[in-house]
Amino acid sequence: MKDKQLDELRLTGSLPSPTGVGLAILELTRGEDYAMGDVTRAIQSDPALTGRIIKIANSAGFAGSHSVTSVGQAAMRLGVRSVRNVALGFTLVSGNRGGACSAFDYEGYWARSLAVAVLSQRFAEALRLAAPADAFTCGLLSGIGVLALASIHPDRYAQLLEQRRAQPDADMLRLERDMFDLDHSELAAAMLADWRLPESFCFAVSAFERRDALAGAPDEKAARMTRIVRAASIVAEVYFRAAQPTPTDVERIESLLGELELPRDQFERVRTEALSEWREWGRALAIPTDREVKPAEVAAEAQRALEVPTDAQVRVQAPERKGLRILVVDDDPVSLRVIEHHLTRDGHQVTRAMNGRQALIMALESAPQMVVSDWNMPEMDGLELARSLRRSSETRATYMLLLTGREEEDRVVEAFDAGVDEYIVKPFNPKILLARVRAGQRMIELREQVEHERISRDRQMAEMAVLNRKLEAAAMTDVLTRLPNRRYAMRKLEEELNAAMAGGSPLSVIMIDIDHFKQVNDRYGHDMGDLVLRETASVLRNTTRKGDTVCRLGGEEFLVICSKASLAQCAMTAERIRAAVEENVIGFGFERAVTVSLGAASLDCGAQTVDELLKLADRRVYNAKASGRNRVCSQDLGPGQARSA
Amino acid sequence: MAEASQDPVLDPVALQALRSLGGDDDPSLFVEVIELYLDDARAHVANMRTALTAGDLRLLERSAHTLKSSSANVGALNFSKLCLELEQAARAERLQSAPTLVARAESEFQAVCDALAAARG
Repeated sequence: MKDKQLDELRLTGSLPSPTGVGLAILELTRGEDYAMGDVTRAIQSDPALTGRIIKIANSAGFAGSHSVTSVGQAAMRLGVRSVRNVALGFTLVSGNRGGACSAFDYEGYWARSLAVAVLSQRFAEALRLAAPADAFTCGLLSGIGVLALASIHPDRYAQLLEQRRAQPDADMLRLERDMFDLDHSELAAAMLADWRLPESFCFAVSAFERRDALAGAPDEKAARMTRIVRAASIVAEVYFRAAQPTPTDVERIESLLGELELPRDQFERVRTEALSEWREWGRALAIPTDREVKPAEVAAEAQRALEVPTDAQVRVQAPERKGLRILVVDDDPVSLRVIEHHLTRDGHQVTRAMNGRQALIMALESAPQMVVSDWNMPEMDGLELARSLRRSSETRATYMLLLTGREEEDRVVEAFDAGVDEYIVKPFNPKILLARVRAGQRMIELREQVEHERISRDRQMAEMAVLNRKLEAAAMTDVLTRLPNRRYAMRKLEEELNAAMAGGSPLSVIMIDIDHFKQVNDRYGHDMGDLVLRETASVLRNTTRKGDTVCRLGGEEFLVICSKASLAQCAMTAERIRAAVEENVIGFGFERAVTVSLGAASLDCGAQTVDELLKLADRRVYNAKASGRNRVCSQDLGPGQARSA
Repeated sequence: MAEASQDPVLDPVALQALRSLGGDDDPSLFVEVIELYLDDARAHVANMRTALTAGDLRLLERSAHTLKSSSANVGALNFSKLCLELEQAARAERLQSAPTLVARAESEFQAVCDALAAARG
């Protein structure tokens, strides 16, 4: 995937990306030599993230050691790089637990990612293939490309899933490439590289779903990470769901264990431990891990996609008035119960906490839309709670209504400074409380609507960018043969010529013309003529070198640009093409095989411009034709030098 | 404070508001709130005594503060006022008035318990 493409997508703002602390960490670690203190300080500013990093450091591979209680200790134990990567991964979870695509099951997606993460961690530990914390991060982000595509193109991704439902065997990656010009695996790799995650992660996320997953691994580390994520993904599919494994599943697991050389009893241990860890993480991150994980990476979304109306209008409209998720905090049980009663009766969903500390934990885990809190409480008071909520990215925007006593009323300025949105003096009339909550609800809904509109605008921009790219590609492609067309050929040749001139490297071209093509058209009709063109194009594609560019210039004329090739090398390619066309392009009913005449020319031959180079090649094609066709001419000295078939 | 004790132990208006919380058809919320209050308040009244004995002004202030607002919620306004006085005394470290106030609060709380038991029926 090209950097330019990723840049375009990033500009739209719909690409899942680290926010808040994650972004700060990304900034701090731009260079290679970042300090441990920078990373740990950034993490510590977010209490929820701090807790999760400590949990990772205590979770696997360090049984028997002292338990870690601070980010600093976690960084010492895991290494600052791993801590940085885990932190980035978590901020992605918290920043992207919902999104524009109502057809996409975000919670199901993260539940599955979390399963792959804990399994990867456990496999890494059991097989000693990688650092467990790194495997966790890589597993957690292994499906990020799917999330990204669904977020950038929610409506069209839903279409795609529908298409896939109709043909369950269809290659998802191919469907994605056809529709978006890129697929989730290359997008995932590009995103991970953009976040400066290790190359082994990037390779693993792009390769683990492929049948030949390990082919092309840049190094042993990347291959090991790929094996881990692949194994974790298969096991997550088979076991982390309600349905019993089928005989096919059992076979898959058997062959996987053989591949990994992992004894059955050890595998069972890994699986059981991972399952309970998965549930634990689910609780900590408020992701429902108690329900089924669907088999295919997107099967769950596919089902939902069908239930959702495709008319975009239906989705953009504001949600009808419904209750808020409200967390009520008060140390007085009577007041807590009474407030809960009024709010519940007004249609809200209420959870309760008895003090600020308890409330903070609950708020970080369940992300309520509003917090109604008493001021004066033991452990952590309402103002401290407000300050803490404002520090965490998940609760930064949570609306907070403070209950104050008469004696605190003259200190409300202090409360607003701490991050409180509104207050109400006790004792209060329940009607006033409900009115204040409704006023807050209008604010919350307005904010959510603005956010919603921003997302939908960004999405349109992203679709436009992809459309532009496809139009551009279309303008450069020959419809009949799917080869690049003359416009592309000229642009490309200009670039290659400049590069060759600047770098002093050779550059050659082969001009190709189908022999007696007019006769084919006249005698057998244009359909047959088109078939011959397509067949020739396919032979050209298959016989040229990897760095060569094959174009159709128009009519029966083709051009191969052989970058960095000398005249001799390109003459060999030309001869290979000539022989292959003669052998392969046989139209039924023809009295003889289709053949081509070829002219090879190089910068060495004295050409200075694109025009001169092409003229030279053209002249040699003419020479080849003149000396009997079905031959290569690579010199100006006449037909004597051209080889005969 | 002599005039305060002439007021009823429970404010009928507040009590009526509490009674109508769950609607006419559901008196269970009223009973539940009274239970919640009594459990919590008993612990805090005991805390005040402990705090007084130990000279722990922080604890005394905390418990008095909590009792002040929760008691107002159930209409125990006299008791709530006594708790306010106690809270202020503790905050200003006026220890000499505290023993009398705690004793008065304890006896008023007993009256509140009786009145609530009667109200609950």
